[in-house]
Order: sequence, then C-alpha cells, then structure tokens
Amino acid sequence: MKLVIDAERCAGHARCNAVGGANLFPLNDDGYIGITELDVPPGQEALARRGARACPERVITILDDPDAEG
Amino acid sequence: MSEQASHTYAPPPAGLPGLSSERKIPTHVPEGLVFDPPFEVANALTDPFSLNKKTYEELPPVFWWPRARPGRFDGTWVVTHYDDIRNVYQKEELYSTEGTANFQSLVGETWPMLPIAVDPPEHGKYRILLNPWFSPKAVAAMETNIRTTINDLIDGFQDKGEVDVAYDFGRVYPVRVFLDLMGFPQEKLDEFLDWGYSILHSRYKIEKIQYGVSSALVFLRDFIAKARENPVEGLASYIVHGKIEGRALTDDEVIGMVFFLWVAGLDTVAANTTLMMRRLALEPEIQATLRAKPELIPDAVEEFLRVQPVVNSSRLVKEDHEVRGVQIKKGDHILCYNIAGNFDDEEFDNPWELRFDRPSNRHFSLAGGPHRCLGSHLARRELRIALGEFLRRIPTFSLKPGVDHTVTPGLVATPHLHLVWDPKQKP
Repeated sequence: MKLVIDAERCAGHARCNAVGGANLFPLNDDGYIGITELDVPPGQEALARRGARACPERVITILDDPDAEG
Repeated sequence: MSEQASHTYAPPPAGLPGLSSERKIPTHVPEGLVFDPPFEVANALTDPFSLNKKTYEELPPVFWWPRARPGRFDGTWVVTHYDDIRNVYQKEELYSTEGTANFQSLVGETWPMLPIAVDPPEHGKYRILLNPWFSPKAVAAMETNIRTTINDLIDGFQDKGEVDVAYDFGRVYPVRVFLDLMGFPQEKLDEFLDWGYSILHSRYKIEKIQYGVSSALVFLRDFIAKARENPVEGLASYIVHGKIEGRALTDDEVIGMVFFLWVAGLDTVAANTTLMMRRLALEPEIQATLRAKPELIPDAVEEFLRVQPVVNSSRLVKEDHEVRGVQIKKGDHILCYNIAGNFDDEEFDNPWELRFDRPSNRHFSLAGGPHRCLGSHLARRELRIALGEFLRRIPTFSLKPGVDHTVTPGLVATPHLHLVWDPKQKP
C-alpha cells in the first residue's frame, strides 16, 4: 500500500500525524507534512488509512490498498 | 432531558432593528433565499448549539442572512453544508479574508491584522515567520508550562468546592499562557484580562471596546519600542526583529501581528473551555467516562471542538460565481456556517450525538485552507490539559443550583458559570 500526498495543499492541521503517528506522517519544522509519498510498511495499513482519513483538506490519497473494496 | 428548542425559520419581518434602509437586501438575492437563522441566540439547553439543528436540515444550503441583529454588519451569504464550507476555506482565489477581525479600526487604526487579513501569496510570507512557534512540536515544548499554569489555578479553588469556571478559569489560563509565549510580564495579567474583557463582554458599548483596544495598543507599542532597542525572550521580540523576504518588518506589520495574536487567542479557548465544562456538569455520565478512560481525552477534545464551533469564518467574495446554482457577486460576504456544517450527516454519522470514537473527525471549527487557525495546536493542547487536570483533581461537579446557566453558543459564551462539587469527595 502506498500514500501519495499533495503537500502543496497541506494546511498544517497535522491530524494525520496526531492520528497516524509521526513514523508514518512526519512533519517539517513548520508543522506541515514533511513527505509527498509513503510506502506503508506491512502491518501499518490500518493506521495509515486512519491517518489519511483524518485530513480535513483531503490531500492524502491511498494507492494499492489491499483491503480496498472493488 | 425534555427541553424544547424552538425557533422560527421564516424570513425576518420588515422593520426589525438593524435592518435599516442602508441594509437593503441586494437585488441579486432571490426573495426566497432570505432567512434569519438562530445564530448566537442565548439559551439554557444542554446542547446550546442544537438550536441550529434545523438550519442544516430545513434551510436551503445557500441562503442570504440579513444579519437582523442590532448593530451588526451588513447581510451575508451563508453556506451550511460541509463540502461547500470546505470549498470556501480552500479556494483563496475566490474568497478573501480582507477586513477580518477588524477591531483596530474602532480606534482609527488602518493597518491590517496579520497574517489573517491578507490573501496568499502575501499571506504566506507572514505565516512562515510564525509557523515554527505554533507547530505541534513547538507547542509540545510548552506542555509543562501550561500544566503548571492550570494547576496553579486549580490550587486556588479545589478545596472550596466551587468555582466560576468561565471567569476564574477559562478566562484566565489562556492569557497566562499567552503572556509567557509572547515574553510579556505576568504582572500584566490583570490588565490584559481587563482589556480583553472590555473588548469581548461590552455588548454594544463601543467606548468600552475602544478602551480595551487602545489600552492594549499603548502597552504593545511601548513593549515593541523597547524590544527594538533590547531584544528579549519570547515571540513578541522575535516578531520585532523578524524579516520577510530579507527586509525588516514595519511598525504597522509588527503591531498587526502582535495585536492579532492576542485577540485571536483570547476568547476562543475560554469559550471552548466554558462550554465543555458546562456540558460535563449537565451530563455527569460523560465525566464518568472520561475519568475511567482519560486516554479518550484527545478524541473528546476533538469532538467538543466539533459540536461547539465558536468561530464561523467569513470571507469576501472576489469574483462573480455560482454556488449550487445561486448567483454570488464580487463584494458579497459569505459565512462558513460551521454550526451547521459540523453537523452535516453526509460527513458525520449521527452528527448530533456526542461520540469520542468517531472513525474520523474532520471538522472545520479551526477553519481550513491557507488560513487554518495558526494557534490550533496550542488551543488543542490547552483544552486537553485543562480537561485532564480538572477531571484529575476535581470530583464529580455540577452546575450551582439556582444559578443561571444560560449561554450564547459562540465566541462570547458567557461571562460566568458557577460549578460546585463536594471537596471531601475524591475525584
């Protein structure tokens, strides 16, 4: 599973970081998302999904989700 | 609890105070889209925001509110649905923050509040100066100080079995934290509280508001002048010596930032604290849940932020366009009605239920887009610590019998709210 992040549109809510943790969602010194993509380590999929879903700006897209419907 | 919320959802009758001839409804506003929602109507309901339930359910998703309140602004468009609100926050090319939080104009000042009242890309130049001071990491470093501040206040009333949680707690601790953050002396606390109270709780007494604003500006200008000569610790002095694009800030830019930081942090956390404690006092089962599982507190704060949005941001429309087929004109205002959008059932399951286990909670109580509340992480941490320490040290509390618990569901919730408990009981 992979996450793609539109960091340009990140507004610094840092909800991904609060919900999904700093390992998956590291922030820069300004408190905005520090990465633009992430290969989700095996076993961390649920946490990554929660972190992605927490973003009010919806800038985090999930690709190749093994549990995705359809 | 069998409380009946009632409000008429009819267009405001002609001749309402505030609807003077200068405030005619613009000709491009269709007659059927004019409504008067129950915005900031004082009430004694358990959930004081529930008066707005029908605003989302029964009014059109885009309507014109003539702001039929004495002495309040001109009319504005209102969007009540979550997706439309997100759109307004995110599309800075269509919606401007120009003129936001213009308290300083009451005393004849012409500089803008910074960074809130300027649009991108200008906005970003100011914002990057301040962001590192308000990041989750920077705010985490303030944890001990905030905790000490809050516990000092609780020390003062724990054994009394009673506190005015609005006046002697919610009003005070954010200002103490602010003084430390800015590098202002704690000896100024009483004066800052007095100025803030004059601005926020003076209703329509314009002289009192002017007194609060101008007194604060006198202090801030003096502090800024001294810090220019001799830099000191803290954010205020950092701003004084800050640079954008390689140049020093002007006096107006410095005062615009420092004054805005004070105004922005003054009332929001206080109102949220008071409303949160009131809800806990009226529903002791929520206290029991959080006492048994304090690990729920961060999610509880998030949910309280959702169900008691004290800020509904307004934007100035930059270009003619349509929202859901409704013609919006350049120069109109548009209000992000979080008190409806945070209860949009397309986004939130059972939106009127207070739940600490929501799978996601993407409310816009702290706004969104480029102007996302700069102090959001500080506010969250303050609320978490206040709630956690209060529950840790104060046993089951309730509203003081016989005392009025009417609140206004908004930024200026109430000046007083008396709580009582048995000091012999263990929390």
